[in-house]
Amino acid sequence: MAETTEDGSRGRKALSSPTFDYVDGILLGLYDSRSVLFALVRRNLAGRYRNSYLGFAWQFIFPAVTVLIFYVVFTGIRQNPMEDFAVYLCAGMFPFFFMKTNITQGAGCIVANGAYINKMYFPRSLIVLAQVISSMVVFLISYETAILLAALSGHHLDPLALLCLVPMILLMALFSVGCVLLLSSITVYVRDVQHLMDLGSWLLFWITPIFYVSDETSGILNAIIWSNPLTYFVDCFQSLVYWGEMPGFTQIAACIFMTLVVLTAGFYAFQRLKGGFAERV
Amino acid sequence: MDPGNAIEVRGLSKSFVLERKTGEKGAFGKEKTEKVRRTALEGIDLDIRKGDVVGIVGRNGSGKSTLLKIISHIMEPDEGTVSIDGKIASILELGMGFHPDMTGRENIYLKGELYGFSRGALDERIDSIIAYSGVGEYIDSPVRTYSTGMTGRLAFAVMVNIDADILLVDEVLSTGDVVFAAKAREHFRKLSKSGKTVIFVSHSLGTIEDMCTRGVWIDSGRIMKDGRIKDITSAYMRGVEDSPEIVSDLAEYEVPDAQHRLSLMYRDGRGVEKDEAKREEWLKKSAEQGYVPAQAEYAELLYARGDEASKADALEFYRSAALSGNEEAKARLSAILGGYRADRDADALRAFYRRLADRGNPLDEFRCGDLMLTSARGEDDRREALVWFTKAAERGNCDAMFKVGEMLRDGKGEKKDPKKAVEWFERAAAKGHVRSQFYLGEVYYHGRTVPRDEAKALKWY
Repeated sequence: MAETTEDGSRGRKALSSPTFDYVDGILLGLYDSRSVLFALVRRNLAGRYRNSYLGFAWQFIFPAVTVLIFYVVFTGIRQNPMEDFAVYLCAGMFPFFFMKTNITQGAGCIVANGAYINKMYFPRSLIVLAQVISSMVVFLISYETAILLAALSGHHLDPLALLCLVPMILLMALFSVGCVLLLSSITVYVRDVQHLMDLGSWLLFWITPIFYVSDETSGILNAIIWSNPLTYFVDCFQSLVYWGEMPGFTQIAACIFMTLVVLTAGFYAFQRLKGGFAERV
Repeated sequence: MDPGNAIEVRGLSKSFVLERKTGEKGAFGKEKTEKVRRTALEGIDLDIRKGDVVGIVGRNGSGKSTLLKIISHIMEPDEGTVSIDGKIASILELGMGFHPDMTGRENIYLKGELYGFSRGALDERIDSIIAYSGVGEYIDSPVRTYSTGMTGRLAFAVMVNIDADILLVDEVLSTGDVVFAAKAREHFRKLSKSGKTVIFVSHSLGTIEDMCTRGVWIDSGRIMKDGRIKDITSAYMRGVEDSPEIVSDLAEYEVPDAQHRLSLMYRDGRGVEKDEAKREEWLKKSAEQGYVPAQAEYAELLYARGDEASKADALEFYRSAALSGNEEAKARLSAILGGYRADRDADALRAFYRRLADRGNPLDEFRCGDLMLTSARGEDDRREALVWFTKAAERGNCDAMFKVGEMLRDGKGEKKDPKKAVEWFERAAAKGHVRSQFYLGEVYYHGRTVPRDEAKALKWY
């Protein structure tokens, strides 16, 4: 039931019980209102493109066209052309767009769902989850298609590395949940954040090694690239898909560390700020 | 928590921060704003027993909806606690959760899931929901093509399936047509009979009285009164009628009866300081807008002033009120006119009536003639009366025709002219003037002033 039995979260808050119980209670609340989650996801996915001819396909067109453009441009001007450059582009482009969508669209997701927040009670974090799950569905379909095409084109894929994609994708999803929790709740109070993220993600695009290889850079540029959190995730995906090898230990450790940091910060911010959502959206 | 209680609210307070422009320019050329706290709820204590059907009434901005939102956990209070025993569902907006581009069927699933139904449960109920909504063949068209009523019915059809112990319903019943309203009322009646707890917020006092057993009146974030629904609604109505802010607000908005009420409040010093000037101002406005009780009252006020201009205005207002059927005005008018007729300076009255008659309304012309005739002091007056009567008669006033006939017959105001008199009587009679018809019958039967003519007599009789 969407409205949940009230003694749930409110009672728990009063108790200020240990963290484990607290998280446990939240997860339980989420499970109880899973139908709301489905509804929100379905609304995100099916509702958005309902009136367009290409509909859902629009979700894939943007990254696909970007891949195409960079492929055409960079195969033309590169000094030493990379083998299967298209596969390299896809390997990094789709994870990047997944995270970018969550950072930009995700930042506004609480505000965008104000009508629900104002009119009914359900755990607010469902909106965040719905956002990440919706973009995850799109990502999975497009990434799978891209990998399939890569295999068909004769690019060598390492089965073990591909298997490792599963935990990697999960990690990226958790990282995104953290980002969305943090950004969306702040956006409710400071609407500029969403616009800032639009700009920021555009900048991030250029300092993420998607259409170039990080090893080819040096000096200050290299430092900038590795100060971009998304670089680590994109690098891991490129290792697994394009290079067919395990990602470097540093990269994985960095990904896990950042995920924990962002999740904690996002969770904390969200819990602190969610009380004011209804009166501000 | 008392086990008999479904909801226990203790010491609940909530205030909102509003930003108000100060007028100063700040950074980026944006106007500086200051933050103002506005209290929405203040120290609310409320027990809702299990099975209570409670109606919450109050003006816009009184805090009703905020209270509902806090109880349903949508908003968090600044202070105080809310304890709830049972599964709670809130229906704060009927159309909520509908996606305009999705079909009715898809939206049933969407909304159903938002209200916590599983897909399986919805699969089972979908047919009965569609049937209940009465949307029929349009169920697979996008909801944006629906009329407001259809959307409302569809939403309501999902809503009746909500299974909760406590329902919070905000202003939902006021949408939709008569049939819908009846269905909705029936549904909530059944719910309350089955022992569910329901809280309504509505501005429609009739609906609330009809459905609730208990009422709570909230104003400015405080509970004003809590008790039997009939007591609450009538107390609330009285409160609204007596509230100076509301009444003056309405009066400013040119609602005539509010203007009248405001003038009464100024007269009696109820809620506002006594102020004769303001009383008169509002009374005048109300009277000028044609509000009958105000006209009668204002006329009296004017008449009491005593000068001729005011008296004439007073008479006009009396007349207008009297014509709208105000008995008091009628009585006053006839008393005044009676007095006037005996009065030696009836000239003022005559002047007034002449002025009225000059507008060319046959009824006024007739009245003027009548006044001249009844208060006549000489042949001149009678002549004038005849002129007015003739004018009115020529515009088709039958009473005036009769009068003209009478005067010509009797030689008042003019030399006797039986032939012309009969002509006038016949004109009036032809238009269905009964007295003329009867009179003509007599005339022809007895052969007075005209040759006896039984056929004509019979016809007029």
